[in-house]
Amino acid sequence: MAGLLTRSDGLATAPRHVLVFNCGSSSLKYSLLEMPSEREITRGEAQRVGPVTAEPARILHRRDGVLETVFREMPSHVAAYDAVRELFARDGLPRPDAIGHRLVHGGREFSGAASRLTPEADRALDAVAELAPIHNPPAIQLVRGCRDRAPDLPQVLVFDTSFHSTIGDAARTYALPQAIREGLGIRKYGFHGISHQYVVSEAARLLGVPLTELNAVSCHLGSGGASLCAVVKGKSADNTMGYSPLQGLIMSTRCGDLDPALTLQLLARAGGDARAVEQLLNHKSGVLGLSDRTADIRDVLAGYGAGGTLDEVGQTYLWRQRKYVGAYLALAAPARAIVFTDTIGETVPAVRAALCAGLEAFGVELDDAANRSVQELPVDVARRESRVRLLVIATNEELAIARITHAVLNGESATDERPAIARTTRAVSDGDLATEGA
Amino acid sequence: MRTLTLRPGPRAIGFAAFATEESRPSVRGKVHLPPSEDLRAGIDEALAQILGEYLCELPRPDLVVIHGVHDGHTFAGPAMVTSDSISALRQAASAAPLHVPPTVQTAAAIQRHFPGVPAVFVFESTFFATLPVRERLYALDRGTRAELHAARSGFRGLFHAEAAEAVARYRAGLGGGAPARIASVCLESKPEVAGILGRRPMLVTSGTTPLEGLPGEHNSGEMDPGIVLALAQTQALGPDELNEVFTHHSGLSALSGRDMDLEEVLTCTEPSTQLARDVFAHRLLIACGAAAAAVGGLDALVFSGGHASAGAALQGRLVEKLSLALAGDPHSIDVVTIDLGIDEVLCRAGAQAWRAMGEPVRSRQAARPSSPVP
Repeated sequence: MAGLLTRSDGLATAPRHVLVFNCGSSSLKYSLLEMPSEREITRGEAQRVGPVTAEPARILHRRDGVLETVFREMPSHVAAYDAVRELFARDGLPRPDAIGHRLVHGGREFSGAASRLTPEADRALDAVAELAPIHNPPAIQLVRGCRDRAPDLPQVLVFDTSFHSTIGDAARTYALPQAIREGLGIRKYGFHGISHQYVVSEAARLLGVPLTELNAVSCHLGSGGASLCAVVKGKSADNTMGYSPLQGLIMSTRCGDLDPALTLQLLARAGGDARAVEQLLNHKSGVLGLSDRTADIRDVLAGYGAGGTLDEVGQTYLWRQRKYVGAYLALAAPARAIVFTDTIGETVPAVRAALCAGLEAFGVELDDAANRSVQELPVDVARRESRVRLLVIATNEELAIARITHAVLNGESATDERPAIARTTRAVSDGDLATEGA
Repeated sequence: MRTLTLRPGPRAIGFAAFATEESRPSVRGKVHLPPSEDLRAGIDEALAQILGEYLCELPRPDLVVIHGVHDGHTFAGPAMVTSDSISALRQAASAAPLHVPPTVQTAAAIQRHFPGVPAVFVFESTFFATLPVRERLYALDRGTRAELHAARSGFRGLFHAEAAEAVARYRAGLGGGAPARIASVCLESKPEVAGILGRRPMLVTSGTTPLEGLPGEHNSGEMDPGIVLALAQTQALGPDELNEVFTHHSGLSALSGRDMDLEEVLTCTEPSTQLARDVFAHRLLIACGAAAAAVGGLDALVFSGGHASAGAALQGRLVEKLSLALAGDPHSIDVVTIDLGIDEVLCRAGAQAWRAMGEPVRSRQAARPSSPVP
C-alpha cells in the first residue's frame, strides 16, 4: 500500500505524541504513537496486573522490533502506568502530549462520540462503571490515576459503544414497557465500535469512496468476542451485540442469542441467582458449551477446508454469522463490501469461505484461490465480477484510539471522516484482550 | 364434509364449524376456560358450552380437527385421535408442558362427546420437523440444553406450510425445477418469519418458545440475555414476574403506550405509534434478510395470518430494500398474500390429513353400527 503520508495542520492544540491505553481486567496494553504521521514509537502489554498470581507480573515491551520482558510488581492498573512511564523514561522516549483510553461501555452518559476528560465527564464515569463490571472499573481507576499524576495532560475517553451512537430508535429499542426502558437505560448499545469504525474507514479508503457514501457489513470476528455491524453511509446502523456483549453471534464462551424464556428458566433453576446464570452464559456457553472440549473455533474447524467435514458445532457457529450477514446486507442495501477483521476474520480462510458460500444472490462471489493464499493485509478476496467486495483488513484499535484522541483535541468531530492516512499492516491481532466486553 | 376445528390452549378454546372445507366457517368463536386448577374439568366445561350453545343447531360433524402447538416429538405428522395416540401424546407432555395437556384433554373429551366421529390431531410443530440442526441448536452446554428442552422451533407451521403450498402451486405452471426460496411472514398476534426452501424450513425467528423472535402485540420478542439478568438483579423480580412482563406487558402495545393489535399498529398513522411501527419494520427487514441468506436468495415473499392484509403497509419498503440487497439476483421477488384465518388453514390441513390417512379407518368405522357417521 501507499507509504506513510504526513500532514501538518499547524494547530497548537493538536497533540504530537499520543499514548493509548487499552485496559483489560488483568492486563494493560499501551502504544505510543506520533501523530498525525501515525508512526508507532513503542507498544507493549503489562500482564498479570492486580492480585498476585502463580506467575510474576511482567511487561512485554516492544521497541524497534525488539521484544523485552520486564518484571515489575503491579498491584493495580495505576501501578502498571507508573511502570510503563519508568520504561519510557529509561528509553528516552518522548513524553506523551495526550492519553487516549479505551473504555468498553459508555452507557447513556457517553452516548455521543468520544469525550475529553472534563470534571463533568469524570463524575459521569461513576454512573457507567458497573455497566461492564469486569472492564470499566479498572479503566476508570487508570483514568483517574493518570489525572492525579499529570493533571495538565489531556485525556480522551473512547468507548466501544461510541461508534454505535448512530444506531436509530428502530434498531436500538427493545419492545419492553417504557418505565423499564427509560428508567433503567435498557437499549441496544453495541460493542467493538472502535474496531468496526477503524476497519470501515480503512475500507472506504481502499475502495476509493468517501466514508459517508459507504454501505457495508463489518465482521469483527475475534477468537473471544465477535460482532457484526451494519454500516449505512459510514455510520453504524445496527450491531449484533445489544445491551450487553451477550447478544448476537456465538462466541468462544458466550451464548449469543437466547430465547428470553430460556434465560428465565435458567434463573429459576439457579434459585434466582443472576450471577450464576451470568457466569454460565458468559463463560461456559458458546463454542465451549457446544463442543464440550474447546472454546476456540479454530480447534473445531481444524481440517475443514482441507477436505475435512464440518461438524455440528462448526455449522452452528457459522450459520449464526451467515444469518446476520444476510440480515445486514438487507439493512445496508446496497452494500459495497463485507469486511472481515480480528483474529478469526483475518486468519481463518475457511470461515470467510463458509460465510460467503451460497450468497451469490446477494452479489457475493469469493475468489477461493485468493482467499486461501492471503499473505498481506489489507486485501480484497472477491472475484472481479463480485458486486460486493470482500475485504480482509487488520483491525488496529490502538491506532483508531490515537486518531480519535488527536481529532478530539484538535477540535475536530471524532466521527468525521478520517483523512486517507495509510498505515495498513500490523501483526496478527491480539485477539481477546482487545475485544472483550464485560 | 362438515368439519369442526378446535384450538385448545391453556386459557381458552377456539372453535369453528365448516359446512365444507373450502367454505368460510358458519360459526366461529372462543370460549375461555373457567379459572380452575383442574384442566380436564375446565376443558370439559368449555367444550360443553361450545357444543351446547354455539353448535347445538348444526348437524354432527363428519370430522373433528384438533389443533396442537407441539406434539412433543411424538408423531411424524398429523395423527388420528385414538386412545393410543392420546396416551402417546400424554407421555410427551414434559417436552411442552404448556401446550400438550390442553390438546390431550380436548381429544379425550371429543372421544366421549362424538364417539365414532373421526378426529385428527394437526400440529404446528410438524412443519418444523426438518429444520436443520444448525438452526435448532442454542450455544449452551449439552446438559443444560437437555434439561431445558432448549431447541429452536416454530409455532406457525400451518401458515408457513400454506405459504409454501401457495408458492408451489403458482410456480408449477411456470416450469423450472429449483425449489422456491421463500420468506414466509406470518402476521398473527405473535408474528413469525420462516425461511423456506421449497417446502423445507431452513430458518425461523421463534425459539424454544414463541417469546423469542419478532416483537408481538404484547410479547417482547428477542432480547439480550443481559437484559433479563439486569432486570432480575436490579428490580428484585423473580422469573415468573419477569415472564409476565415479557409475555403480557411488552411488545408493540408497550411501545405504543396502549393496547393495540398488530393490524392497527401497522396501518394507523398516529405519531405516538410510530416507534412501534419502526421497530417492527426493522426487525422484519432483518429477519427477511436472514431468511434470504438461509435459502440463498428470494423468489417469493408471502404474508399470511390473521393480519395478512396489513402486510400491504410493510410491503413497499421491505421489497425495495430486499431487491436492492439482491440486485444481482436475476429472479424478481413475488409478493403473495394468503387471505385465510387460522381456522380455515386448520380445517384444510385436517381434511387433507384425514384423506391421506383416512380410508382404512373410515371403512373400519363404517362397519360399526353403533358409531354412524352422519
